[in-house]
Amino acid sequence: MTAETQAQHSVLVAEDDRVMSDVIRFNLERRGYQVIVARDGLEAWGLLQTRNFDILVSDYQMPGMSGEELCQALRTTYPTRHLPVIFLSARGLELDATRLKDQLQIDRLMFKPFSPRELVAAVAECLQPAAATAE
Amino acid sequence: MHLSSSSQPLIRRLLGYYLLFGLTSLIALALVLLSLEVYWLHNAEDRELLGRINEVRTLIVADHTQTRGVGSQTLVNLLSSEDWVAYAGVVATDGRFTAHTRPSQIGQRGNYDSVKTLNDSIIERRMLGSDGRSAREYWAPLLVGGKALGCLQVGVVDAAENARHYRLSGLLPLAVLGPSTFLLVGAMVLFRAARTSAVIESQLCAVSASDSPADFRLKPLGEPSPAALGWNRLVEHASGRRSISSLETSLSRSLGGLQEKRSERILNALPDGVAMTDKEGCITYTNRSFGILLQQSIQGSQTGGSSASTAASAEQLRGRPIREMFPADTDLHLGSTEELRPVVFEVQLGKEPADGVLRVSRCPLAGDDNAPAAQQVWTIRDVTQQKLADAMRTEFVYSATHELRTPLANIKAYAETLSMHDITDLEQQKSFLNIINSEATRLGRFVEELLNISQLEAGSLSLVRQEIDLERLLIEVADKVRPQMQQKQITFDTVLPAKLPKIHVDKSRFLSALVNLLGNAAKYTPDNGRISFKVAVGPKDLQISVEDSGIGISAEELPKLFSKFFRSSDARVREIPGSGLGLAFTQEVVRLHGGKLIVHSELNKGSQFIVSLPVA
Repeated sequence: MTAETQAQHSVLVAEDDRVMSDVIRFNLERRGYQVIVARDGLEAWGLLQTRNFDILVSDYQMPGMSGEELCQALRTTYPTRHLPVIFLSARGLELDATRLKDQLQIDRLMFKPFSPRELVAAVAECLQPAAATAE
Repeated sequence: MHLSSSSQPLIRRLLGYYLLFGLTSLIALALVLLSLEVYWLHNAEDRELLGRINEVRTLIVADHTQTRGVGSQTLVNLLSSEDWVAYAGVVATDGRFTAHTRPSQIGQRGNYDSVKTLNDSIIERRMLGSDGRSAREYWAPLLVGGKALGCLQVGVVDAAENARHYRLSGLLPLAVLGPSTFLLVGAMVLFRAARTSAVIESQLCAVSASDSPADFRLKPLGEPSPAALGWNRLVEHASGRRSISSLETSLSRSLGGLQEKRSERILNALPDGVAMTDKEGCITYTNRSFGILLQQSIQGSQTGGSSASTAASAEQLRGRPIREMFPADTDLHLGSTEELRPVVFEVQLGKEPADGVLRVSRCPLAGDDNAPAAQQVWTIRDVTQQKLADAMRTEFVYSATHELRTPLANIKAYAETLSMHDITDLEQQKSFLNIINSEATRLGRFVEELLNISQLEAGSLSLVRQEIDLERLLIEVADKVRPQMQQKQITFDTVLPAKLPKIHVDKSRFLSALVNLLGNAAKYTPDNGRISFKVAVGPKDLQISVEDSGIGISAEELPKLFSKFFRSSDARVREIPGSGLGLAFTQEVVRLHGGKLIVHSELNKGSQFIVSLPVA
């Protein structure tokens, strides 16, 4: 991958916990992605309207607009309908992964505590087809 | 007559009497017949006698006509051969015997009554002799052509016959009276013998004719016979039983009434609402709690709003469809009325569970033949508190998992990042490591809280007291919470008296309690707020107060503040992670130390929490 290709991918991270969002940003930027952080769902939704992102990494539980609500909103709006979404959640087994995958078409659901290595790999995987076509 | 009191069975007695008096009567009758026969015989003899006399008379008359009475003596003598003839003679019209069986009598004067001998009928004359014996004389007038010639007089032997005659005439009334008397007496005896049974029989007939046992009028008999005594006992027993059974009836009725009243009282004492409906779903019965529990819902459906007026009474509710008692769109699960099992469902009275949740159980009432009857029994329980408690517990579990996983996630993320990447920037390295450290601390604190709470739940929180320096403790508390306060740029001041006493407390627990209070102040006070930590020493107690200028607590929520898992429904509080257990824990610790935890608060202005500890 060229630096240009890498720089093209922008990731929107929606996470209210500053500590967490910082480490996610660190890891994704190291990988070469452009990272924008939103503190809650509403802010994320606003950002999605103004610019294009290649992928959304969102906490499930957020004040204001929750991750699920955010996802529902962007799934019903063009052009974000097909935006890849990765959920991060501390909820664990209480979340119905099947339902989320069916109803909201999320691409990955990762449970906290998670490995940043795995997260970066997941982001790369979701962006793969685009990368392939870009190449 | 005591014959009836004999112990022989009645039938035998009756037969005995019957035979006795019957035979006696027969005997009497036989005697009568016998005497009649004698009489009859006597009559027959008499007739023979008279016939003979007539014969002789005719001969004498014939003789007189022919021979002028020459042969009359001979003829008279004919009669003397008869043994019943005592004497016989012919008396001429001058009254002297012209012929006589006793020759001495001839020529003597005989009794002769010319008047009586005018016709030819034989006259019977009785004479009483001087010796007391009666004699009979027959006078047969001798008539020739209407002219009296004289009279044939025949004396009859009557010695035994006379007596017999009198005996006969005396016997005759006796012969009639005897059997009659015996029959009468017999009748009386029979009557007396049978009377007891007759009375009993008539009473039994009356019983069979009456409609109900209550009409049996059984009277005791006055006789001392065993049968009467037995009957009397039976009567007593029956009337006794009747009075007992009527007593039983009235007792059971009043008991039933009492039981009914008691059942009614029991039902009305239940906190659950109980109602019964008929097959149309209209209320036939409600207990008191039913009206109370549903008053809000009932009134809401009536007036369109919820007015907390008095609960509807049973009379008001009777006859109304039970559907009206619940909110409009409640599903009463009336589909399965066939089975005899209860159907349980929940009804929300409003939008929020806090508005009221009722658990409703509906069960068809089994009929007598165990077929499901159309009636339904409804039981209503207010489960609002349980629902709210469950909701709080669920929320606690969610927030607990969140609170545990979040710092863990951070620790893992930073640790892996450090190991994964070559971070040449030392400052960055340090900052990452610090973050790991503080997150670990955060996690540790929460785990501590969880452990405390599990002890609280188990009720097994016990203190290990030791004497500690209060000032040192307060410093430690402040140090623990200072970073949070600094982060939010909250002004923090402490007011301590010059001399602080030593206190006798469980250091770690008391420390946790104070950290919780100060931590809350820091959590719920917005940026640039103010927190003060004050200690005041009174004569009897020590007061440690934490005052903040935070978001405060509403008056409605103050009473619930110290409940386990309680978290304010204020959005600002909800945003901040918390277990809802801190204050419960703090209060318990203070209580175990013999102290009190007091709170003053005003919404949006701030709160003050005061720990009051007794000082020896």
